[in-house]
Amino acid sequence: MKEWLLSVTAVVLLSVLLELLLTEGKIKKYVSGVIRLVVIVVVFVPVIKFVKSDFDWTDIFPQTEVSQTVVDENTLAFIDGMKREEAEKEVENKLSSVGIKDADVNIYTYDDGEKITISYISVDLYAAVITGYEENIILTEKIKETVGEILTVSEDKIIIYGGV
Amino acid sequence: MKKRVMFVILLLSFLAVLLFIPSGTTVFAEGNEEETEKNLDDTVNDTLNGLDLTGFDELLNLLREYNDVSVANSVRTLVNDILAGKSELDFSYFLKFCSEILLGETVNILPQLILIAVFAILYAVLQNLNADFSSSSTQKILYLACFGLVVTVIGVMTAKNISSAVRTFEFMGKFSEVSFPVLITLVTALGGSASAAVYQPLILIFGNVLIVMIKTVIMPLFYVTFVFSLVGHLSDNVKLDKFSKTVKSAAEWILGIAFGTFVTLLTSQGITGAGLDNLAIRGAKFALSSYVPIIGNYLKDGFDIVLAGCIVVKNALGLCAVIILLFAVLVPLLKTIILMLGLKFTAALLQPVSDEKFSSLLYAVSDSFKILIVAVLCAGFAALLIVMMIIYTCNFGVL
Repeated sequence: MKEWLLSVTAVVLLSVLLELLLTEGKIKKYVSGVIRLVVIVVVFVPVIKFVKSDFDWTDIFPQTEVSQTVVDENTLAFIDGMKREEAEKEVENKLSSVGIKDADVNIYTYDDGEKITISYISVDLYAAVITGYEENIILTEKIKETVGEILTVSEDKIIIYGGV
Repeated sequence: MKKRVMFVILLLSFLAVLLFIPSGTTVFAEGNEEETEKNLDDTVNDTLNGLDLTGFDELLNLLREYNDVSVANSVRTLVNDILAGKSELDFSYFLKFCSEILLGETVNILPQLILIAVFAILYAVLQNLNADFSSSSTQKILYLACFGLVVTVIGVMTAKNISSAVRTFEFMGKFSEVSFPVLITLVTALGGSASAAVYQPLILIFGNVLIVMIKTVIMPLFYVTFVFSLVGHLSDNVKLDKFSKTVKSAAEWILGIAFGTFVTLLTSQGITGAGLDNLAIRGAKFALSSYVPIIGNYLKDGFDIVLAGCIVVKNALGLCAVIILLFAVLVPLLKTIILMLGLKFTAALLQPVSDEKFSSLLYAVSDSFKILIVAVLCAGFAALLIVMMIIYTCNFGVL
C-alpha cells in the first residue's frame, strides 16, 4: 500500500516536472496525455493484481472458531462455590434452630450442563452439640426431615455421620 | 322505629364479629434488613475478589498512556466508588471534560491553521504582484513552493490524529479481549446461558472481524483518500478528486453495511437471548420453590443473595467498561472533529482571498477525515451497545 501511494505521488510529481520543463506546443500536449495514461495505469495496477491473484480471506481475517468460549471457568466455579456455601450455611442455621448446633453440612453437586443437581448431602455430627429437651432422642429422622425440607431433596440423598 | 334499632344493632354486631375473626395469615414487618445488606456487601466483595481484574487495570493504564486520561488508580477503586455512590464521573464531569478537550485542541491547531492561511494568502499576493512580469512556469513554481509548505503543515497537524485513531482501534481490540469475557462469565453465573451463548459469537465477530476490517480495509482506504486529496491538487493536468471521493464513498458504504448488520443482529439476538433467560430464571425460581429436586426453598433465598451480589458486580463492572470506553473514544473523536472543522473553516475563509486550489485542497483533506470519525464512532457505538446489552441481561425476573 505504501509503495503504491508513493508510486502514484512520484508519477504526479513527474508530470508536474515535465509540465514545467516542456515548452508550450504539440509535444507538451502529447506528453501530458501520456502522463495521464501512466497515472491511470499506476493507480489501477493493484486492482489488476488483486483480480488475477488467488485471494484468501483468511490472510486478512484469521480463522476463529465461533464455539471458542470466552468464559472464565475459574470464576464460574468460584461463584458456584459461593452459592453452595450459602446453602450449607442456611441448613446449618436451621439445624441449630431445632437444637443441633455446630453440625457440619456439605452439599455435593454435579452440573449436567443444564442444571446443577445435588448428588448427596453429608451432615457430620461429630462436633455437633445437641441442646434442648430432645437431647436423648434419636435425631436421624429429624435431621433428614429438616434437611429434606430445606433443600427439597429425597431423604435417601442425605447421609449422616457421627449419628446419635 | 323498633325495626330500625334492631337493624342497627344487628349491623353493629356483625361488624364486631368481623373484627374479631382471626385472619389466616400473619404479616410481619421486614426484619434483619441490616443483616441482609451486610450479607450482600460481603457477597459483592467476595465476588469481586474472585474475579481477575488485571485486564481492566491494563486498560486504565493504556488510557492514561494514549489519551492522558486518568479515570481511577485501579478498576477495583472505581467499582467501589460506583457502588458507594462516591464516583465523581457524572454528566457534568463529562461535559467539562469534553469542553476542555475541544478548547485545548482548538488552541493547539490554531497556529497551524493560521500558518496555512498565511502561505495561501502569500501565494495570492505574489501571484497578483507578478502576474504581468513572470512566465507561467514561474507561477507554477511559486504555486508548488506554497503548496509544499501547506502540505507540510497539514502533514504535521494530521499525523498525530491519524496515529491516535489507529491506537483507538487497537484499544478497542484489547477492550474486547479483556472486558467481555469477565461480563459474560458473570452473566453465565447468573444463569443467563442463552444470552451468553448469543453474545459469545457476536463478541468474537466484533473483535476478530469488525476491528480487523477497520484496521486492514478502512484505514488503507482512508490513507488512499487522504493522499489522493493532497496529490490531486498538485497539478492541473492530473485530477484525482473523483477517485478520492469514490474511495471515500466505498469506505463509508462498507462501514455502514458492516456495522448496521452487526448492530441489527446484536439487538435482535440479544433481546431474544435475554428474554429466554428471563423465562428460564423465572421458571427456575418457580421450580426451586416447588417439586424439582434441585436446591430449593431456603436455598432460594440464599440463591437470591448470591445472585443479587453477582448482578451488582456485573452492573458496576459494566458501568466501568462504559466509562473506559467513553474516554477512549471521546478524546480522538473530538480532536479529529475539531481538526476537520478547523480545516473546513480555513478553506471557507481562503476561498474569497486566495487561489481556489488551496481552499479546494483544504476542503478535500478535511472531508477525508470523515472516514476516521465514522469508523471510530461505529466501533465505539457497537462496543457500547454490547456492554449495555450485557448490563441489561439477567436484571429482570431474578429479584
